[in-house]
Amino acid sequence: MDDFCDDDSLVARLVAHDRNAFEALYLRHCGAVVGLARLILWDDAVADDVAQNVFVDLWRRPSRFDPDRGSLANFLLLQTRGRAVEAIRSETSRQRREGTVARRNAVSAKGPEAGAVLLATRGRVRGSLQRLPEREREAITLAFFGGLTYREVAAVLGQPEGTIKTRIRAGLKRLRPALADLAQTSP
Amino acid sequence: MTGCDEVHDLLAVRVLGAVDEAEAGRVDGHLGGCHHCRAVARALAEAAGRLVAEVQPSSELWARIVADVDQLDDRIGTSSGHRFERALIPRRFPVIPGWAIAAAYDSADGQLFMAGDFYDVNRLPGGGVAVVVGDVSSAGPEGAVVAVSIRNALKMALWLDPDPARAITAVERVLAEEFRDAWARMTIAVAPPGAGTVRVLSAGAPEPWLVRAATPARVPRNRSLGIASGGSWNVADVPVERGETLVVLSQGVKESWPLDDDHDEPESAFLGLLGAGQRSYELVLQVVDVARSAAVPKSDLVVVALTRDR
Repeated sequence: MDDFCDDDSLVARLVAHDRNAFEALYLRHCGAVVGLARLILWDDAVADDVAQNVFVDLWRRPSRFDPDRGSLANFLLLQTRGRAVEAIRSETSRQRREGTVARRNAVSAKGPEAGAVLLATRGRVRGSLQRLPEREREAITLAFFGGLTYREVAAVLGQPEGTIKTRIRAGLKRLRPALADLAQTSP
Repeated sequence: MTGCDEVHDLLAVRVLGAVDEAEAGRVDGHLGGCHHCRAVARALAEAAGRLVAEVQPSSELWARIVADVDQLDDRIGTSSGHRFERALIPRRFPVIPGWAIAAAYDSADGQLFMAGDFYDVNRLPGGGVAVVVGDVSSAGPEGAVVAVSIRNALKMALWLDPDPARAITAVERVLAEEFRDAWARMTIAVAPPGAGTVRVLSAGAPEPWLVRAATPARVPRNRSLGIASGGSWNVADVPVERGETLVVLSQGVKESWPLDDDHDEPESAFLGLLGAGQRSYELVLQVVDVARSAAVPKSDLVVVALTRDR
């Protein structure tokens, strides 16, 4: 990948309103964005709406992404997570208003609903997550796909907040062995 | 300043988005200045990315995105997008090294140019750029004819001599007949290639704004074009820092500003729009959105933003 084609350069070209750069970024990231949206939402049509909004918003406001604060891939995944969670919450509140039962994982999840998230995402995530120890997998699943903050995860699982942070970090490190060295060094 | 220790503990949950807004702000603020934590965060983010199985999106998704984006762009001209092909605004935007330029022309009730507004963005022989935003006093087809004349005469005059005072003097003289029944307001801004000052002439038009400072560019005022003859024209060299934006506005935008009680200046809430970190394209879209929501329905809105590259 030459310099002109890395994500940061492409975003810089996006600021100058370059459609080719936009399409290149779409092709590079659409699979993950749609993948995450479908994991969280389980409704491919709604997931596509979320992905559409994530990319249109990137075009409309590219400067919301700041390369000094992280990668574009992570930025787009967090945008996707946020919008997908929003979609579920509004759907859930609509169903509550209408007195129908939430069909899917309610991400505003407290207690019993959290169990539904865990159950529901099982089998839909990559093998890498399946291989994690149960406790780490559970914490990461609730936090990432369940749309909870680590504090909410701690409350749902009845564990101290510090424990949840530790489990999540340990899980991520396990997914990327090279990370172990980097994350242990102190500045 | 949030320390590495506190942030370090939050990096993993941050890359999953599992923090509240205040914590996200603290972590992100720290990452901007800490190379070490940024490297750790990048690695953790990459690990988080591995949790997501990529899927093949439906073939319509890209088409839907393009349709949305086209719709956004229809309201905007930019230095590399597509154009309105009309007489009063540029057919093509020149690409000017050192500057990112965007413009929006939002016409009253969807009818182009009936209010006599016009703008132009021209590349100059020396490599710089000249921006003109103006309107003529008469509306309807007669006004449009005068506006086209002024726009094209200015284009020629600035091409021959990029000094806005000399250009406007020539145009006023050459078009004296046109000005019997009409007058015009305008702002002319001439930016040399790469350099950090923009020469601005404001003839009866609203002052341009400097984005980072969120203040008027403080250029001397002149009479409108065509209501007198002779006399000299005052210009100002406005310094524009790297990353900063000069915003040139039409009278219609100014009239739709919610004005401060005491001053002839926009309310601070509106100025918040002109906050740091915005790029030309986003900025003109937002200015037009806000102005249109407050605007007199009959007024055209023209905004041109010149952002100096970092």
